[in-house]
Amino acid sequence: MQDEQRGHHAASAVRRNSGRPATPALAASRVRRRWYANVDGQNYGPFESHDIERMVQDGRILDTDYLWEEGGSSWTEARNEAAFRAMFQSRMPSLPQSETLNLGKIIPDKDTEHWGIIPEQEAASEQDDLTRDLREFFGPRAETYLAIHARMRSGTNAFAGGWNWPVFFIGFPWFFYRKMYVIGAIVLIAPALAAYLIGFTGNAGISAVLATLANRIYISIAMRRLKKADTLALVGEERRDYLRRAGGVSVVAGTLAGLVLAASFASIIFAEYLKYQKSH
Amino acid sequence: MDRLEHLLAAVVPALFALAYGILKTRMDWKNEALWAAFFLGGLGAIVAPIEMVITWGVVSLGFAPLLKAAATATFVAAIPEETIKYFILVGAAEPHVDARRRQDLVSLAIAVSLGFATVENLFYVLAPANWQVIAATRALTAVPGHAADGLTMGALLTAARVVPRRRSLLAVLALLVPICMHAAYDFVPLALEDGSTAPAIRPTLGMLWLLIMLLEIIVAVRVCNHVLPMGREADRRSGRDSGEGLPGAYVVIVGLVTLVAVVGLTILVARSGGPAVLIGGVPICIIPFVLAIDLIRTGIREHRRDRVSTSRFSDA
Repeated sequence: MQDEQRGHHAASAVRRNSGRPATPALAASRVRRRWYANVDGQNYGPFESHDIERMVQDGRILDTDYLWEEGGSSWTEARNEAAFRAMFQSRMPSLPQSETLNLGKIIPDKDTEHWGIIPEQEAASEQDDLTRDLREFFGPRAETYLAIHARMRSGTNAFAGGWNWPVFFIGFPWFFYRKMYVIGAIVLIAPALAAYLIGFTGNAGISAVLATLANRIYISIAMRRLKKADTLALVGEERRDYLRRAGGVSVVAGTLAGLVLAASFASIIFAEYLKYQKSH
Repeated sequence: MDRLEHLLAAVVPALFALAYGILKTRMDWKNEALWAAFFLGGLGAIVAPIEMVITWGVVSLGFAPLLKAAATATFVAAIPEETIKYFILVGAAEPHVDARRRQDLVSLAIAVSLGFATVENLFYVLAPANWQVIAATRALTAVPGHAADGLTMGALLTAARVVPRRRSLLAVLALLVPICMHAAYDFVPLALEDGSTAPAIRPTLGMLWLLIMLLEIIVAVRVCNHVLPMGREADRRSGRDSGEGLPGAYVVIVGLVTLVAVVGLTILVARSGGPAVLIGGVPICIIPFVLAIDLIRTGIREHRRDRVSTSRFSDA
């Protein structure tokens, strides 16, 4: 259906030729390069080079269609035609110009992060795949993070990542629980290091900034892992296993970090108690 | 500036020891699993005292001096510390998605142990009095001692994963052997610290400590050198080991630099008249010395292998 529309569009947009040349070799050679296009079994032309370029840009001639240059020996797939090859390699798919073309939604390509036109059904299926992958990655409370991801994707709200209350109250243990060990360690060590080396105090401010950024960081890590799974060409059970191991939660790490937090609170309380005892 | 020196003195020895594990297993410095294991080990060092408080009751029962030192070394130091490291390794580091190869377990175990040692080191080194000697002594003894425990734990756990017939036994040994090694290592300093230990047996205890350190590091390196090829073979069969690694010459250079650092620190400690004097000064560096020599040997072997594969390629 779509091919028919494209063929129709190409036919009406350009001057129709009397038919496919019987043998390309019979066509007269000219100084100016003149081209014929074969789209969906129909021949069109002759065209100037710039006409072909425009049609390639408009998506009316695809890389799988055929071109023949007057005087040439044979029809060549458009993508193999030296004069236009570069256009197919670098071309971003263009938006439809005719109301008769229904090319579906525009969604970002997971691999390349380029914007591409994908038919509606295919777009829906890609969206399903993405949701399924993210659900595997997030593990417990996946729906919460999927909703945050959807908000971030819509791009209408600058604070789409939202506020993370666990991070605001407990800080680094949340990162350890969600398997972001290195970030958790930085959140734990950096303020202590700054306090030790330069006497920095400002943990409340750090907590607020972290609470604002935590969900964004988590979603971006999820997307990075999805991309890595694509790079490793993982599919099926292997992909699910990879995402489950990369994401989800670690009870061991969460408990450990929670105990560290509890120990630090206990030591603060104990130190205050000793101070109180001394003063009385 | 002093504070920065303190920090570096506490952290750098652990990084040197970590380099040993990375180079032995041809792991990548940038591997996220490695640093996760390191930081989790650091958390473990903060949590371990909670466990120690629980086991403290055992040693308050009123033992004779040497028995008390043995009970403290086992129940207050070795069991809590090695148990926590083991659970971090098995519960969080091993399941990490970036730990794809069997042989990674060795590096991860060393990283957990050294994360633990780094935080422990900070507690000692940040104390102001005589911190240089404390840092140098610990860089030669406690830090590589932790690395040796981790090396043994990782190697035995790797063996448990690649030898299914003895999986359970080896997994239990991966916990028990480091506990025994750690307890034996801690026993002597604790006995020497105890004022009621008879002066006549103190030199013997010093010699015993040297013997324990020597045995510990020989066991660790031999077990690791025996198990690593098995892990490598399992990884090769599953397509997870590309056989790529740093050039052998590079490994040799790191080994030589470590050796020079070890000799320098040993001279510093021996001149300061610290605990090294008890065992004749120089032998205090036995653990890092053996690790550096093993690294140089590994590098030479890798270098020969590199040359053979290069000549085969050029013949072809």
